[in-house]
Amino acid sequence: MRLINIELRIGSFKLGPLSTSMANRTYNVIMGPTGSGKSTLLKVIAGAYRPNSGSVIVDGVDVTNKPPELRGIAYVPQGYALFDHMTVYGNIEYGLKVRGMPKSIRAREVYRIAEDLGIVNLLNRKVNGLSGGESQKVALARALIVRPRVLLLDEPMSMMDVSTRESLIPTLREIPRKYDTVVIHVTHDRDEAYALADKVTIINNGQLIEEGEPEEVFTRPKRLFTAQFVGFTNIIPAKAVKTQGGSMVHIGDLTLHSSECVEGNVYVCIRPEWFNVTNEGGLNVIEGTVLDVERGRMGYRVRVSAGGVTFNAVVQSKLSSGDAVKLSIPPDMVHLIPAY
Amino acid sequence: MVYAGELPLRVALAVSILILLLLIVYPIVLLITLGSAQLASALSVGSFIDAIEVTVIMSTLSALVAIVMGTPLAYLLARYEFRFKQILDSIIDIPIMVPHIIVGIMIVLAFASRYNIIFNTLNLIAHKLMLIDAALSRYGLLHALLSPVLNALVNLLTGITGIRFVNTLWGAVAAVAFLSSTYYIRVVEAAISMVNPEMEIVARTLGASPSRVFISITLPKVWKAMANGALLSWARSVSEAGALFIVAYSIYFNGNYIYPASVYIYESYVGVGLANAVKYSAALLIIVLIIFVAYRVALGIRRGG
Repeated sequence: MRLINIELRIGSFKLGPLSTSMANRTYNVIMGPTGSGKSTLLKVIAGAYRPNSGSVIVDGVDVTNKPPELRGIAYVPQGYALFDHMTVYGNIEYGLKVRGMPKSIRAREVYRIAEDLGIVNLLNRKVNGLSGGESQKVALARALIVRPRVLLLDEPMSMMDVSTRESLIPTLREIPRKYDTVVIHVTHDRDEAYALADKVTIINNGQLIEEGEPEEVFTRPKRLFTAQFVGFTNIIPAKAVKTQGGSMVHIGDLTLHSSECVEGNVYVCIRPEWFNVTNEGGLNVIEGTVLDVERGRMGYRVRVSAGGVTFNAVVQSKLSSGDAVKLSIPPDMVHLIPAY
Repeated sequence: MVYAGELPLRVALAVSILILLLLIVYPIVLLITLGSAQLASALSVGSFIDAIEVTVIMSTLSALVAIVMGTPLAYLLARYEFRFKQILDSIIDIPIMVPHIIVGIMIVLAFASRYNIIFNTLNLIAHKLMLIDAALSRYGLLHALLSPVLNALVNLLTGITGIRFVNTLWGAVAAVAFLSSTYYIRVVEAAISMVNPEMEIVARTLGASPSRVFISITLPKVWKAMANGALLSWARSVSEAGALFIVAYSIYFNGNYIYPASVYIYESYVGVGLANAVKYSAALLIIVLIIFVAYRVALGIRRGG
């Protein structure tokens, strides 16, 4: 699945030019803030929008000028758009029915996929009373039954509570290999992206910002926007000087060492959860005062003032504002993004 | 925010209900009360039954015109943003604003006067085709090949331009369709815009062609609104008088000239008097209401489709 120089203008919004490729049997997450154009991009792939220029290639075939029904693509929109005048069975069967498949084969396939997704008990239900998780599985079954080459999921978890969301991650994760397809999943939720993706693509203002493996994008982003978006709450402009085995940056009155070798203007990027509270001194230990504390799911979020700079950290020990604290950060967790 | 039961709301409601009773309920009740006793007598008059028959046929044809013309337009307006949408929107609203007598004049002007550009052009083309046919008569084989085609074309064109609009069902349907399609389009447009467009996209990606999507996804959700809109536009046509005064004061149908129902009642009022007109008015009203209710019950349409 490839996109080549896709460009689309809708009113004043411009998507692209944008090129990327996604391998078969992989789970790809497109991540970006609201209004970044990620859903629009999905609609271009689905064929609901025709790009002003560029090509959509599916399985080596240029489908740019083909209508949606001839692209080999299945689409699960935000909110699922289940056909609410049909039963669950009617929804799942739809793609086979419009292909003119005999009734007996349709029934067999519907049962097979419903069994796979654990929704056999829902088949005779109307779709209106279904829960978020059930609706999503019905929408997945409806999409997967036509054996698409590409499966598009637009914010598939946005209508679910946290526990349903977590329980569905394994189901989604196994789709590309189990159904021999490419999954393209759009979200603004970084936990979701991190949990699911083989590859993450970051989009902002209609432009592709960065793409790569999640470990790379989430811990060593190449672009400032990515760092902000994936949760680096400490992003501090500084000047870096190369040293043996890395670089040294001065922030306020502090000096931090990074194992990355960069020279010149940089942004020092540190995830808040990478700080440790310590009692010892040494390399990359920041001595400061707690400004405020907020309770969070992963621990206490504290703001620490040190050397004229404010750091955000997530720590496990309960601190109070005014406390003196020492935070340490290993040099390989001080990420530097060159500033241009 | 005014709470139910508070004084200002009660006063306003009392005034509005009073006007409603006075203006709408009271005349209807009076008409039906006085007229229903003579229902049998009204329905025994052959010319009145003919009038109702021709009116129902005219209105039904007009509703069909509304469906054929209005459904794609309603879809277009509900689904797409495009240049000149405002203009199209305004054109669709024109029939509501134009005085009905003027609509009659326009239909006569457009289709039944020497200014009828369409028919004049078609006649001209037919004439040219006949000249070509005559010129070809010198070339034996070519003439033998082309003459049947030319003649068929000429017959088709003269057939079209032979259609008369004044005092015919054609003219009557044209006039009432002009006036009533708007109601259909607006009702259906509103219904289509309520259908989630994502459903249509999903259905397309699942392999359905555009027409299949319309039939299997959109239609099941809007057919009641379509039926409702068609009924509204049908009822609007039954009640038309103004435009018919000009185009089809009487309609030539089955070898007779028959008054449309509203003209029939006007004639009875002007010619005979109020009591006579009340008899036929009540009969027409009751018949229309019965058709209305029966149609809605049969289709299970609740208010608003």
